[in-house]
Amino acid sequence: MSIRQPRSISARQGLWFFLPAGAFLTVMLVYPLAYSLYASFTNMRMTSPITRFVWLDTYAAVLASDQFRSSILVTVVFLVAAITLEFVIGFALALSFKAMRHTHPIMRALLMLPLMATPVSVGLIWKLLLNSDFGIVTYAGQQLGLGTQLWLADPVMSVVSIVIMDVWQWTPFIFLILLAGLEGLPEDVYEAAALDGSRGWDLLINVTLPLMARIIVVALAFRVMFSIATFDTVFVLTKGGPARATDLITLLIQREGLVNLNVALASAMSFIVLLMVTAFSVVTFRKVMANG
Amino acid sequence: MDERRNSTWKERAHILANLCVVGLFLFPLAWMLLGAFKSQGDLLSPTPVWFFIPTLEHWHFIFDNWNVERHMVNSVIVSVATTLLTLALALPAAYGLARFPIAGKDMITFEILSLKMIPPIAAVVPLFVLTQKVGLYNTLMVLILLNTAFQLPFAILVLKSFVEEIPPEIDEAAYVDGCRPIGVLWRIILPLSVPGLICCAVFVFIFSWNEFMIANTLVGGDLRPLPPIVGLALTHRGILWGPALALGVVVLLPVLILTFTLSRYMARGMTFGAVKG
Repeated sequence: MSIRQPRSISARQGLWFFLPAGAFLTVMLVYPLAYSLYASFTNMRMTSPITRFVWLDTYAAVLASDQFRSSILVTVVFLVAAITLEFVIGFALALSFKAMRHTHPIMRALLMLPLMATPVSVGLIWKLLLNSDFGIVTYAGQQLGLGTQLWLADPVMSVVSIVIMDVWQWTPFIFLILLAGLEGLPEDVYEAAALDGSRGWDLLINVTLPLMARIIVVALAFRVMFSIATFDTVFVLTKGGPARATDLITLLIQREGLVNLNVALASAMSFIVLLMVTAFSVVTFRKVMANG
Repeated sequence: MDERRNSTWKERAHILANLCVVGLFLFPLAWMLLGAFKSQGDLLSPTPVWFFIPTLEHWHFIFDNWNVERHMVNSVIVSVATTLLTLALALPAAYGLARFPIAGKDMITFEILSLKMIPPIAAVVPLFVLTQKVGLYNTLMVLILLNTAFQLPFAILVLKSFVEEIPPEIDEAAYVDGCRPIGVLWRIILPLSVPGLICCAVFVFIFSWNEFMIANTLVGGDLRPLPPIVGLALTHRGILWGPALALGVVVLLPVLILTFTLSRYMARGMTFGAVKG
């Protein structure tokens, strides 16, 4: 399909339109990241005036550090647990919404609220709900005979806590995308499947899931990227504690870089994480976006 | 007939279940809102207090002691300026990418997307060093510039998906009438992408209003917007629960109102335009 274009439209003109944004991004994001890459090969600290090149020593120090490894582990556990739950709940909810004949824009709008809510407020809300002395979730647990759970003071429960908070905040994201996807599915496929006598689970596994595959991948890929960047909510809720049980990699980088002022170490950690994110996104997104 | 009755029962069950789920998701927000009007005793009671006489003591406290008006003005300035600057940069870029045969266009689009994937903390550490060198440290300007940088990739991708839906024939007709590309952008693309601009504006405004990490790192004192102040309330000599909740509500309320009223414009933005909502 070719669109006939007048002579006057050239690539050069298009670049002029792109230039301001491109230049802005280069100065504000690309340059700092390049500077950070440079810093990761040095021993730069804001507390010491002398910076020298140390090649890969900083990276070696990061990879050998127990803190870094445990933070990566916590991040992966958090990511897998939260995203799995979000997907299962979000998909079930989307199917259930689809089963209602009339769409309910108000219900949808209400479900969007946790998603857009200010992250520091979200952390604060859950700090209130999960408080072991007067939190309503703790109270509900006592009433159900589960005893007094130390949601934020016990290492295992605190990981459960940040997962619960994340599920509350992000399930609506998966829900909204999958619902949009479900509503775009062709009706006739379902009519044909109904004629063949497939219903229930059969229909879900053999018809709905394959048709939804691309959208599911998009939703999950976005979630993986956003959840690696999780910071504000957990910073407010647990600050990485107790005893670093919820010390996500972003919290570790923040502490090394902005509290301990060890710029080199924080930069090296950032770049290892960036490498992981890039590897992940190249694999999933190239494919998805290209088909898009 | 039986089948039909069955399905309406099923539908009612779905409606009921979905209402319960929506209620469950809204409860935490409602509980915070209630908490901001409870007296200290009710708030810290080990058994939840459902009925109480509302008090404004925490609200007086935050406005008297924490200079909330000042921080609110900062938040508004930063968010509005960020939104305008982002849209002004993003629309021409989206137009350029959507309509011109730029070499390596898909590559550029992918690079833009990968900028958005970078966890902000990776950029904040070097920015902490660099902004001090160029004298932007501790100014509202640095917040505006950086929020714009963080939101720009998102805005370009979403607007590009909206511009691509405008039929190119309209552009061509304008060219035939003697319009130049800049005229096409101003007279055709701009008015026809208003829904896309609203979608972007809502997201960019909310994201920069919510932004905590840059604001907490690169500005201090009176220049801070609201979110870092909430953080302050949490660590400052233990937690002052009442005032902290009142402040949490102050930050949250504009976001909730905007989201609720403009949600129909926002569906597309969720996946950067990758999924049409």
